[in-house]
Amino acid sequence: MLIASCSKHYDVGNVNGINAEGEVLLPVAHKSFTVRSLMERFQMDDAIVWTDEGNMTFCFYLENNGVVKGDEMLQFDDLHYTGHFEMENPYQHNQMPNEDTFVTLEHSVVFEADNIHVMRAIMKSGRLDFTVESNVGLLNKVVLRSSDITDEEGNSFEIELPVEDSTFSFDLEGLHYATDSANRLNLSYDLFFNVPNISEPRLSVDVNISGYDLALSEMLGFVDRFDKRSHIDSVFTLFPNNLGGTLDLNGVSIRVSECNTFNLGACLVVDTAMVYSEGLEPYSVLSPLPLSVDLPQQQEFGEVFNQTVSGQLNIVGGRAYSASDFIMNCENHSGLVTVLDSDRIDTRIDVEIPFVFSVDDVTYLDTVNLNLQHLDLPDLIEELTLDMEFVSTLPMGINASFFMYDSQADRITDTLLLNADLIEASLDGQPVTTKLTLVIDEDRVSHVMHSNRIIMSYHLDSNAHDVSLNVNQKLDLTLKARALYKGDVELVEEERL
Amino acid sequence: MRKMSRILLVAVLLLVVYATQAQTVSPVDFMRLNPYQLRSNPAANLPYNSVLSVAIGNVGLDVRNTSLRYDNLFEFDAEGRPASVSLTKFANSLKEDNFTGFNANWELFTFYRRLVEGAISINYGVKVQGDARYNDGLFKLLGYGNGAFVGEDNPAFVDMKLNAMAYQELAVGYQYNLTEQLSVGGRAKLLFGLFDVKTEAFNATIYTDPESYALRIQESVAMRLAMPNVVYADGSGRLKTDGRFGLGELFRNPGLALDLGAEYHINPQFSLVAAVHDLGFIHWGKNSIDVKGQINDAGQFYDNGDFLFEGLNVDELQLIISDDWYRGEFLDTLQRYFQLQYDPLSSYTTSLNTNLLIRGNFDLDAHNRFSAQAQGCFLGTGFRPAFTVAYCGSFWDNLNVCVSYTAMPESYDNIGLGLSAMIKTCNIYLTTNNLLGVFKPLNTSAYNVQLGIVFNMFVPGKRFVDESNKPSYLE
Repeated sequence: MLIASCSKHYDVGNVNGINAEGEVLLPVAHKSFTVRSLMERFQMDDAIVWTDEGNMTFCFYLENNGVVKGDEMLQFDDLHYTGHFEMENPYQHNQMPNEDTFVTLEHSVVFEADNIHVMRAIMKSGRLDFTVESNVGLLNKVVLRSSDITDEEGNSFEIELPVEDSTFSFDLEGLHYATDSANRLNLSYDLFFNVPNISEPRLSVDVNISGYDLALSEMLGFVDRFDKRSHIDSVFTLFPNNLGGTLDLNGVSIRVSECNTFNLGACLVVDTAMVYSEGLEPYSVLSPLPLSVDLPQQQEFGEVFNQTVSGQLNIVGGRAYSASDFIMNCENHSGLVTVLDSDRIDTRIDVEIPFVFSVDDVTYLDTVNLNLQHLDLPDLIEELTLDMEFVSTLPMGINASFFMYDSQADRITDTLLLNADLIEASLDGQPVTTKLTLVIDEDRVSHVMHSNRIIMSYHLDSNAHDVSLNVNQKLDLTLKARALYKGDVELVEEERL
Repeated sequence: MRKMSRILLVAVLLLVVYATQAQTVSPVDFMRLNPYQLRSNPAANLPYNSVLSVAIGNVGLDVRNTSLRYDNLFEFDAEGRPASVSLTKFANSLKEDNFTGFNANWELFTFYRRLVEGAISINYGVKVQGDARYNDGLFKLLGYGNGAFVGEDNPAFVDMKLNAMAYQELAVGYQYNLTEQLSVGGRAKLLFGLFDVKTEAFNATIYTDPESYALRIQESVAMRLAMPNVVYADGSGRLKTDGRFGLGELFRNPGLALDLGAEYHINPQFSLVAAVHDLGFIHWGKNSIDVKGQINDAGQFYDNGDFLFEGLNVDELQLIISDDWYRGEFLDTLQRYFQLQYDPLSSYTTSLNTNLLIRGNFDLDAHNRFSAQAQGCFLGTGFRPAFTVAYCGSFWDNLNVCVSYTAMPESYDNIGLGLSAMIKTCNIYLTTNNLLGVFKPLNTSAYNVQLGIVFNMFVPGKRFVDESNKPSYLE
């Protein structure tokens, strides 16, 4: 019996684990969230401007370039002219015609334009195509003249054009135009026909003229008052979608600047300026409407409108819609005006939202994916205590809820924290320390190990105070853990190959 | 002469003051009929003309263990079977300073022959000895976690020293009676080292900041290794011991040692013995490697020579939690902070664990002796003294019985027994210095077992020395 008892006592074949009971203290994590780093996290760098004082301002701008463009004003529609000429045949009873002009025609064509009356101009482009048909023979030569056209040196214009199948073309590019009758071009040309039929008692000629790509590079003339309708429909983002809530904004600055290179004044008349934000009633940003803004002549951008407004926005952002009319020559100037094809009116609307706001129902959701299923952790931990320390200079309080989530089962496996006062607000800019202890017992440790996601919900509250975000504000987080462990670590015999 | 007496007295007192820790104290040393008493006293007069043993002349094991107890290591089930290793229980059982050592010897060949003048002996054997000294830091840290060290015990200090050595020993000894009162003896030993582990430092300090729980770790490792086969560090810096091995490697690490002894008979009843054993060295010149370890600068957790862990950046922690690959890389990086460095050594020398002893004998008559002995051993991990009193009697010239009591630091219950029987020319013996410890070897602080069979040759009928050389005390 004694031997049997000794044998049992020294039989280590049944030893199946290592037993321990203790407490491990470990610093787990730390992070300093500055306001700037938070904005980087939200990928809002482009929209944020930090003032010299370090205050944060959201800046959005809308550019409307070329609201009115000189090259569009100096561009003409294609023109079509048809003329029928009939006269007594001057050669019917005379000798055969010689090399002189057989017949000379004179008429004018008109460049149609809605709002401009050209008295002098330099042609940037344009081509006139002629088709001439006659009952006395085929056209074989043309000499074209115009009293309204000169070359660059001011010489009068006369050109002999080649004819093919009774057609010829005339290129206007580079020619100078001067007239006493706006938009009208007088033409005179000598037509030569081959083998004229001199037996016809009357001479009949049909002329078709088409003008293409007619544009001026510069003109001197008159400009009518005219308007142009413009719409802005823009979706803007303040924070990403995992934030929810409303911002009450004050001191939002709306500035309009413009550059008008025309020798002529203009104005902008806004009749609609609405902001739509999800969950909120649309409202008009500007009042009263319509709002008229002069756009005087200036070669560089200059501010022409600046107004501070208030409003309410969903923290995610929203949609802005405006409708307005650009009115050219709104003062009805009647004198001669020089217009260049490079003239234009550009506008830019800048919206600055200084981040002074109050929040009372803003929630930020964040998730952290876990991949702990493959971790071979011994089932030892009886209780895990997480000590969290927050040192905050943020001007708003934060309540938090932490949930463990199993995405495969699509269920919340545990609620670690529910509406806990995580961070107290720093109302005077001095650091405020908040300590929070989170106890995770054995069951919860198991839940953590069998979950694959942590869902964190942060609820922001400024306690009805207006707060502003500054680059110096930050939140320091320190997380340390105390793990009580007790139990056996199983001894696993290594599998031999 | 008076000066010599004072020196002798001081030496005796020193050994006694050192709490007489024991190392390799065996009843064999006191048994007058056992030829292996020569091991402790090279000046001893053996009562034989000649002695021969092959293979099993002396097999001995000496274990010294101040704290490590089998019963403290396990939790037992209802039937008394060990069910699990209990780190907590084990850590509780440890003292601040703990020592575990062993010394094993195996005499493969022994020859002794009395000459006209003196006696000669030749021995060949193998010795293995090792000792580990360790504090309770590591086991408390594992058993209780670093939470137990936040307070007065901060920082946790883990200190270990491990020394081990194996070598072959070829000894040639000579004993001579200078006068009727004084005999001297000595043995010259040629040694061949087989393997050696020598630890200068193996410690770590783990400081846990009570506020932030930040861990600051310092480590210091300094060891030397010599192996019978080729050892080297592989490409990743890990030690490999699978190098080639040849028989010749067993004779590549030479050493020399001396045993010296003197025995002085004050009168027919009283005698004094002084001896020193294993005064020597081994020169390890083959397959030696230097092992060093300090915190390596492997990245963000290196702080002025320390490993400082103040927690992870939240983003990095998120990656470690969610990304298997990143987690693996992170753990590999952590290992690099603590990775040891292995550099080949051309050679190094270690000394043997030298023993000193002083013994006083009182011979009541030719068959009954009382002895008192102070002994000390210089180990790699310190000096270990022991104090022993023994009675040894011989009965019918065939049976030798020895009873001993040995006191060592933290081990005071060592009652030893030695039995030796002479059957014709064959001497069979079995001894232990801790009779109770033999029956519970895993729960005792020290024990020694020696056994063997020795043959007295050539003159079976006259096993004692002849009358002319017979020491008077045997009459």
